[in-house]
Amino acid sequence: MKRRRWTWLTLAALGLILGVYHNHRVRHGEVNPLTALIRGLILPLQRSAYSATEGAEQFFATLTQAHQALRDHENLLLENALLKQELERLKALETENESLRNLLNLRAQLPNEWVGCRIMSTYLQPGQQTVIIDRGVRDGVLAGAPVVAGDGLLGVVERADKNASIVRMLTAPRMAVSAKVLNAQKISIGVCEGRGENRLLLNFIPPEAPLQVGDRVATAGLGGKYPPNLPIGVVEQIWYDRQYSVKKAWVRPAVDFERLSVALVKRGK
Amino acid sequence: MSISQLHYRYDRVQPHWFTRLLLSGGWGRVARWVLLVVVAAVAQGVWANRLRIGMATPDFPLIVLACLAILTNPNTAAWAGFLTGLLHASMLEQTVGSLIISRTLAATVVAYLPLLLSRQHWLSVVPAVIALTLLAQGILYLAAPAVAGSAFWQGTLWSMVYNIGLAIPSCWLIQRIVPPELDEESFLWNN
Repeated sequence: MKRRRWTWLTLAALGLILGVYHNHRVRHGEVNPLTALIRGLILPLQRSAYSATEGAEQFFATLTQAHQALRDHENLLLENALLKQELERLKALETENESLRNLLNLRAQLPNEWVGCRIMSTYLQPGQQTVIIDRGVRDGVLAGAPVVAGDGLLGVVERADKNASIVRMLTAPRMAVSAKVLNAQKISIGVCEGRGENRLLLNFIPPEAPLQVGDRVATAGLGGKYPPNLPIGVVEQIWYDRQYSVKKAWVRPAVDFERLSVALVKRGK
Repeated sequence: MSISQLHYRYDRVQPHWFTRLLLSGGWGRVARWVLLVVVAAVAQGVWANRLRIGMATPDFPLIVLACLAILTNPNTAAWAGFLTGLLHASMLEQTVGSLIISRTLAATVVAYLPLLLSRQHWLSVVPAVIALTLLAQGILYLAAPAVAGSAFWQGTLWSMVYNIGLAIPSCWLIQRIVPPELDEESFLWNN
């Protein structure tokens, strides 16, 4: 009978052991089999719930927004025609580029492969900032692959399961990306850090760098993890850190994290 | 036959502890609350963000956990907290130990609230939700401190407000699935 008094203590100790075991596995780049098994059970349920919700939303949207949809359809047809012309022009440029490279004896650049994905689950609580996409190892997605959504960089794949992947958002704690500030006078290089809130900290900007509110921030591509020139956000507030003698800024992310539905993930080696 | 001889015969024919556990009964009730916890974990990823109002998002696992803690006993609450933390941590793949421990301890503490409040009262779930949210997130913050503490607590408080709004209808619904235990049964150690 006495054992029942300590159920909470036993479970808390078990939780501690599971946590240590999980950290040990992650540190060695291995998968935690217990959490992977649980995800394998929960994700199909979330996928079904997501499909049902999407179906219901589309049904009601059809009823309420038919008129607007028709207008949007016409605009999209026009835009599609213009984009097709642009695509033909770009194809011609690509052919020319390839022939010039051959002339210069350069290796042809491997095309980046981006594949579309749906965002099945979203966890936006401060300190969590995680989404789960419906592409995994089976689709060529690996841990460390960047993910972009609509207006800019969303985050990076932290764990790739067979049919789904866990994506850590750029705003999550301890996330960082090399960034460049696209100022009209001069481009400055720094680091954009996530802090578990809805904005990013732009750090390590040289004190003499011309930084202004409204400057766009994009990935610098240093280190090779993230492709260059992916939009990150816009500078909102600037200040000078006397302790480290650098300029810092708050950056409003380009991606609207509250309206995520589809994204692009890079298939990597 | 003497008492010692009767004891001897009883111990010889007593079933294995696992058999006794399986035949102990109450598994239907266990299956129900496990199902509730799993549904809450699924709903949190799919619907919580869609139901966002400003800075407030619901936390379905904590709502269900608060209702279970107040309707059942501390042992069941501890197990429910453990499962809630484990499912949530598995989806996030981070702070596994912290999430499990925070939910387990918070649910156990809140399960003792019926000593002060009547679990039959329809408003009793509100202090349970408040206490559980603050305790669980507080222990989580101590175990895995967030980089931006103000944003963490701001999100927690808004989430708590949202949870209070959903607490009463959720508790009403959960009572239909997991009926409340009688007060005299909850805290007996041989239960």
